[in-house]
Amino acid sequence: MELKSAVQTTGRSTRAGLWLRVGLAGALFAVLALLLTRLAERPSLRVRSDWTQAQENTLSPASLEVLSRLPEQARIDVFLRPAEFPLEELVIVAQERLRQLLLSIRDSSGGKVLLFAHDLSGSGADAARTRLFELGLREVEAGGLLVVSQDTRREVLRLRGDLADFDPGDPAGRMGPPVPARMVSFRAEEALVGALLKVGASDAPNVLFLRGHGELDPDNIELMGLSQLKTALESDGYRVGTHQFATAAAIPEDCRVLAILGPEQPFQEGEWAQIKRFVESGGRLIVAPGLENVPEKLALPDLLEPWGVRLSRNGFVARAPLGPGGTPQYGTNTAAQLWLERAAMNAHPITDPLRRAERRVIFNGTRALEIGRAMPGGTVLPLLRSTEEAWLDLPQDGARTQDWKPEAGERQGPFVLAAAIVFPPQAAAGTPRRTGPQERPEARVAVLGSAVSAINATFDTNRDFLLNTFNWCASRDWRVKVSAREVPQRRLDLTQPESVQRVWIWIALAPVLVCLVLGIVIAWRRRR
Amino acid sequence: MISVSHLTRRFGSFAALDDISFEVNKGEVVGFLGPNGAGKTTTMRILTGYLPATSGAVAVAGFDVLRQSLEARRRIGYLPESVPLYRELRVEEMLAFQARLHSLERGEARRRIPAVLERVGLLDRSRDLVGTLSRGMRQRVGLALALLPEPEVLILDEPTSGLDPLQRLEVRAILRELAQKHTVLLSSHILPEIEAVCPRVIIVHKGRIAADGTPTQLVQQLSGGAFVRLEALVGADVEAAKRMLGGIEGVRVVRDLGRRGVHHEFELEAAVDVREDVGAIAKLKGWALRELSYRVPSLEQIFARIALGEEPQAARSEPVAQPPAGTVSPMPSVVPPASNALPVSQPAATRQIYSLNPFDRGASRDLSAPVNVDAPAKVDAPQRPNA
Amino acid sequence: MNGFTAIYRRELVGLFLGPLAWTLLCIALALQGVMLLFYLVGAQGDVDIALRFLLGDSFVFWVLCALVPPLLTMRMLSEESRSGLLEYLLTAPVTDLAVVCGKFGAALSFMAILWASVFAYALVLAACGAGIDWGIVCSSWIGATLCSGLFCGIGLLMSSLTTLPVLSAFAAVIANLVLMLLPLVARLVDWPILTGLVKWIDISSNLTSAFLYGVLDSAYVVFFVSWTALLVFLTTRSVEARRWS
Repeated sequence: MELKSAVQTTGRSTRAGLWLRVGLAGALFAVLALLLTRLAERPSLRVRSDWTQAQENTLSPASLEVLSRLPEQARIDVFLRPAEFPLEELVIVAQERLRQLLLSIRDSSGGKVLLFAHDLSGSGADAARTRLFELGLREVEAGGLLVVSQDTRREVLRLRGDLADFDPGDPAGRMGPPVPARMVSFRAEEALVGALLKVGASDAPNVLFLRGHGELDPDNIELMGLSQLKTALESDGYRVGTHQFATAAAIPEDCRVLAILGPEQPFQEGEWAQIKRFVESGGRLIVAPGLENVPEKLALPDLLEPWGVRLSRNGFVARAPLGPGGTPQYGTNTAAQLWLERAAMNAHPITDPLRRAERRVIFNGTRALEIGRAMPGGTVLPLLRSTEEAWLDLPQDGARTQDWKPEAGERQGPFVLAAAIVFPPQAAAGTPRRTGPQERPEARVAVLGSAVSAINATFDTNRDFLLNTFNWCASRDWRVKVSAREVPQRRLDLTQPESVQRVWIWIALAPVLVCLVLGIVIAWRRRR
Repeated sequence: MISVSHLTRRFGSFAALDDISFEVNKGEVVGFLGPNGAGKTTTMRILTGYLPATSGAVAVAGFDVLRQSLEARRRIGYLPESVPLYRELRVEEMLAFQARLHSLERGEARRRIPAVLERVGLLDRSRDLVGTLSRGMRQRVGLALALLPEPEVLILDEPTSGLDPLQRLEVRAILRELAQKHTVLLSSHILPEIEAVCPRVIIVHKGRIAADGTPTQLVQQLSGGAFVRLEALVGADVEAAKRMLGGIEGVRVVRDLGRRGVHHEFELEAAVDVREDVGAIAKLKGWALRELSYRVPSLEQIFARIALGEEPQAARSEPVAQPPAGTVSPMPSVVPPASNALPVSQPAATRQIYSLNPFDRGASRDLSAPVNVDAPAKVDAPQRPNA
Repeated sequence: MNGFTAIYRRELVGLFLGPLAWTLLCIALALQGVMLLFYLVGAQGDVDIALRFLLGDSFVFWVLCALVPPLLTMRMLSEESRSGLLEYLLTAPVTDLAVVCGKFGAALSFMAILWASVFAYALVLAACGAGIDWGIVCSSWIGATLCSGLFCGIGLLMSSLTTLPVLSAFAAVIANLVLMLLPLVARLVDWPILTGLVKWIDISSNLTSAFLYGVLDSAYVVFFVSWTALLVFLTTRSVEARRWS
């Protein structure tokens, strides 16, 4: 009976009513689909899986961390333009990769990064220009640029120079044999993440380079300068400055990391005490001895001794380079150049990412470190270690020259080349410094065997190691990382006519023919 | 097996089916008869679950076709009127597809397909493309499709339409064979088809059931009796003869059909065969008999009358007598016809209709007069001198 | 499920028994092959960019997406409802959803087969010495298939709404073009309502943002799957509603 009545009620409704009901169900389902689509875009419910061999679309964990820490929505305005000969095609490739990266950043940011691609040539040119003026820019150079902005803070990144470096080469061969243009580097991920960090972070940690004792100069752009390190730190979200005890007696309160790279003169008594107190109250210090001279008194070794690291005052760690046939070659100063690989690195937050990515670090003219007794409640950990064949090459008989050969009086390896010191703040040093409101005050000192490891000449190799060291010191462990590897390019060589012909036949003709033949065979077999 | 109660189906404001109720028991073979547009196809579509009913309940093999649609459909073999088949498939592929649709197991399907093809006589054509088959062949493929899942109920919509007489005979033979195993409901607008195969006939007209029963029952109850025809030399007093004939017990109406030469022709409508009484009177009066024949009106005539648009049930106010649901009625339920509502008892009305009898050569004829199907020559020129 | 596989198999076999599927396949493959060569030359042999063009970033891809699915689906419901085959299917012991899904699955599979040509191309390119990242090839193929699934859904819906195959194909092509061009139009007119609408249904950006770069992003997968499910659902309801009319 119940059944019958139900049947009757469905029956009574008119056709229009039924269609209405169908439409209503459809609308309901459409709303559901919309909801589902929106829900799927929520960062917590979103799953990305990168199928590429090189994980091209996966941002490094450090970049993801930056994205997740973005306080507000950031906006990226992209203005891309073609470039002129000889970079034309390279720029297109770079732009493609930039686009890919931007999409990855947007999709991994959980809605915190908005992407606006502006069309400078087509129908949207006017709107693009308007936006460009709004951002305070007049022209877009060849290749294009992008602007990362949040509120009023802006960061302009140019494709050529900031995101990628190109070498125009000499394709016409005007100066000798023709050299094709090439893309020297593509570091858009770091640049973009750095820019996001910069526009997003309200307080950038302050790094001060100590000057006044012959230290390396962060503004020097020559080979022995530290300008690249400075730029990299800035794009990683630091404020970089210098400190001279001559102009300001006290180390500023807001100094997060003090870097003393390559001092050649001894510190003065007061300075010495200042630095010591700075560290022992929970300050952060990066030190590295210079090449020339380690003073006998009030120098880095004396500073480090009580914290648990002994630094050799003279001599360099050397290792004979292998000549042809694998025989070690003694007597050249390349012996002081140490390539440190996976095996040389310790499992410390600074070096572990490098180890896992199988990166190398180059150390030049390195002093030997010895791990002593740590401060109470603290630790001293080696970061880099030389191999056993290394020896500490001492200058001969008081002279400055070295023979780069292992001799009887010279110590054999392995040597510690860099170390990380951690200890709790000492009561005597005054009120403990904190790096963040929640963080435990803690003194951190990174000791590098050579200040030369930070100079512009070798900066590209050591970049990740140095940035990790600074970030570890600044308690920005989440920024400790390794930058993306070069993405392999998959190209077909079109210069050979045979290969082009083969591709023609197999791509344009073969599938169609196969299809035709199959179709005809089936038609023939089914004709009756 | 099939139970339909108070089934109504409207298309907009047009009622294709209007409160139809009937039951078909297991093993019964029922013919669904009615002119085009009477609602046969609609009923069948509702039975197979293709169309939902506007109101009423339909159950096949104990399953409601709306609520337990899949269960019901699993037990139905349906041959739609248009015999839809995939033209690009081979016959055996078509059957294999049907087997998969009905979730038959592979081995089972492999066993049944040749058997069912054998049954419809298509075993030698199993590799043929459906598109190349003739209409009759396709009809057989359709039958094979309906038979393949060995359904409890077979519903065949116009299984013989569009076939030539020979093919029709073949299909009829197959149907007769099927009738022994399955519950069959088959529709047709061609009466001999139904009469030849079905022991029980349901006549639908304008969305209602006009009659339901065995052909004999229908004839008896719908026509209200038989006709006796008398052609004799009755002398001058025709009226007296007529009165005398009318006095025979059981005779309801005597009609004077006029003179044929010296003979006079009468038609007597009676509940029973009154030939002996008429013979006795003739002997008594000394009439020279030329013909004394008894004739029961054929089902076709009744059907034709219904098809004319007379609605025998329209006049009735009481509800259709229906066996209570669930009980199996021993006899096919017969809608008691109000015989006076049938045109049989209204001789004055003369109507012409296109003959539905295929052996009639499509002649138009007077339906108020009985027709001898076996003597078509006579029907061609009915003489009505009085009219 | 049985009903679905039966109908799916029949529809797919039916497609390949007729000349339409082969013709479409031939034309599409010829176009794709020639265009791939153009892309390769244009991208200076960069295989990634060429494959990206092939499966989503090019005019030809979208033209194929707009035209091929409607031609596949145009007969699936409209002609069958005329010939009575739909009646046959709907009175068989299978649900309406299985019937619609079976047909949809067949159309989708055809598109998947069509786009699978990219594997052949990649093989050829690999044989010619180009490095191939199979992850990108696979994810691009999945993306293209999902995307064309949406268009198959539109085609099927249109096919269920009319009884004339040609009309249904025409309507589906128009609907596809509108869907594809809407983002472009929105960018031109800068009309806030339209821009808002486009954000919900921007098919091309959903395909080109991740799949073509080798990323399977659940958000984009869900976008295609949910809209396709909506269309299949609507088609089912429309087939069901036919029974009432």
